[in-house]
Amino acid sequence: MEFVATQLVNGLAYGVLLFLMSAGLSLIFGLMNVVNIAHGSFFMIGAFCALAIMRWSGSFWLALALSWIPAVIIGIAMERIFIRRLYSRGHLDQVLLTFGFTFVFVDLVRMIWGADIRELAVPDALSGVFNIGGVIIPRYRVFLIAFGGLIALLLWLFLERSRVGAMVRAGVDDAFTANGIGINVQLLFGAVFALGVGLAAVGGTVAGPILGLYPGMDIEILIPAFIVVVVGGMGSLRGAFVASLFVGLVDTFGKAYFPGLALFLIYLLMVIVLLTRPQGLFGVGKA
Amino acid sequence: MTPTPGGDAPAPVSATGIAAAKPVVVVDRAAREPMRRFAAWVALIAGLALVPLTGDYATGLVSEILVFAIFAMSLDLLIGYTGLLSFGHAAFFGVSAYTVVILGVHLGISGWIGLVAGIVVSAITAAIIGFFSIRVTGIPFLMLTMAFAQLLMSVSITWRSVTGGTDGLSGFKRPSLFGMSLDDRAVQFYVVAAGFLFVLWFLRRLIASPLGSIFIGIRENEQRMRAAGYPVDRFKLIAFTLAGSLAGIGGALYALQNAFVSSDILHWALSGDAIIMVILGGVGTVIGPAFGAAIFLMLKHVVSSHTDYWMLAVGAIFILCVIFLPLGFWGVVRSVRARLGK
Repeated sequence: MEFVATQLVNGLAYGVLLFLMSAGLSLIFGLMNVVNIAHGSFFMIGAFCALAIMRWSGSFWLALALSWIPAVIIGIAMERIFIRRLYSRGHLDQVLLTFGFTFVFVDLVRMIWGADIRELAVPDALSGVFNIGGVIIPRYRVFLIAFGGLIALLLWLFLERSRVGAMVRAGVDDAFTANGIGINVQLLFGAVFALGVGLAAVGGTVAGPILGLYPGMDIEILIPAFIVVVVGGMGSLRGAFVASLFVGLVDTFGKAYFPGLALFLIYLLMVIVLLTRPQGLFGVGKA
Repeated sequence: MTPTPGGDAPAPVSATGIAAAKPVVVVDRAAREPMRRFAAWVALIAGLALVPLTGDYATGLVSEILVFAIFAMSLDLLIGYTGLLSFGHAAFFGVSAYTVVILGVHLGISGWIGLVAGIVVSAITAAIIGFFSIRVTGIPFLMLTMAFAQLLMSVSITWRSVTGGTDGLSGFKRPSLFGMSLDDRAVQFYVVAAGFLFVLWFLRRLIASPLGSIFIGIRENEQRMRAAGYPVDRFKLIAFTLAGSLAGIGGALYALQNAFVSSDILHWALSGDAIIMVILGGVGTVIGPAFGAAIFLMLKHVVSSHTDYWMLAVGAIFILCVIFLPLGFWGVVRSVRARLGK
């Protein structure tokens, strides 16, 4: 019983990290039809920037507040200088382009910070554990789950209740028509790309204390995030949320109970969903 | 539909959305073509024959390049000629290599039988994966092919008793050819080179054949091919299976050369490397991806002997290539040649 509770918390915490990655991935795909393979790179860049800020200031909170900024700047530059050039050429060229960037980013990170595995220190307020009736639960994971829930809520409010959010939804449904009724779709593309990159960077920062930091963490998180986006449905925030928690739990419990088989089951899930519901469980079919 | 007739079809690639090239002007040089082509084959074979004289290191490097050239050329049949961006091509390369090593290590079966078995297994695997994957197009196709390859990788990681898991499977004894053991670098090289020449010849014939024209027609305009009455899905499956089998030749030769295989060989990173080779070398050309493999592996070995950051170089060159040289190295060579030929 204690074991199950611990795994539940671990699974949810991992699910939250997947959500921070896949929310942006999914929105970017839904709006721009671009599969950003470099999305994991921003997760990594966010984490390493947080490491730098913590070394300099010693404060986790400051790192959390600032670490996404360099990633977003790099992301905006990448979108404006490179990806935007290829809108006229088709989506597969853009995919190839972002794939090229994963090579560049991983080596830049290795160049600046080295190849060693590092860890972000947990702030004092979040270190230690809760002991609830014999169940030991690390405080940091509880914080992570609450933090992810808060971000999900804010994102939902932004998309469903704000004017800009309505524009984003219009763009996801039909970018061409949205452009026709006076929405600046190009600006919207850039803004959503930046938002997605920022979320990934924040995800990398909060992942730092539990997953560790190393060049290669980008690819490590990217594939499960892909699975989440495929299962949840491209362009659907609700889908990304539900699928993140689902994949996070399946992965964690699978690894605990059927090590080895877990990986197989998750890829099998991806294949089955792609074959039976290519638009994902929550996605809207696109013409 | 107007399939491009004749030899090495000019390749305006729209598969990856890359802008079409100007049609290659065929002047009255056409009469000299067969002679030139014959001379090119002789030069290529002579050049390859001399490689083992350059010493073990260079021979090993060229051997590796040829193995991956086969892999990349087979992938280009999908990306460049049929318009299918597969992100899981490592599945067929890897399954074949595993077949050779597993049969050799666990059952003591000769590598030559393993070679045939590997190609057959990769053909079957490609037919099965292809059967499901061609139902979708574009990004879902990319994702699905990747998911299948990862599925196989997870099997190779889990099924330790047979595959050796992430540690890999070693202890494979290389076979011998006419009494000469493949442990010898030069013998190894000639076997790989023979495989390379076969795949090169086969692909050139295929692209020039009516079947090749149908593939190109699907790339250019799938809708119109359907309207013209071609069973497009069946031809896509044929292309996918052929490409998988050719990749299987590469994988089997990889196994004979390295006498070792680990789950990395099924990882999507290897599929990604092959895509980079195709784009760098020249998507939609037969020989281009071979140059791509050479560029990629030389960068890897040469740059990494000077600095740790070879991926940065590869990534930067790849990005510039996607933006400015969408037809790759061979596309540039070809357009220069066409201009000079005028």
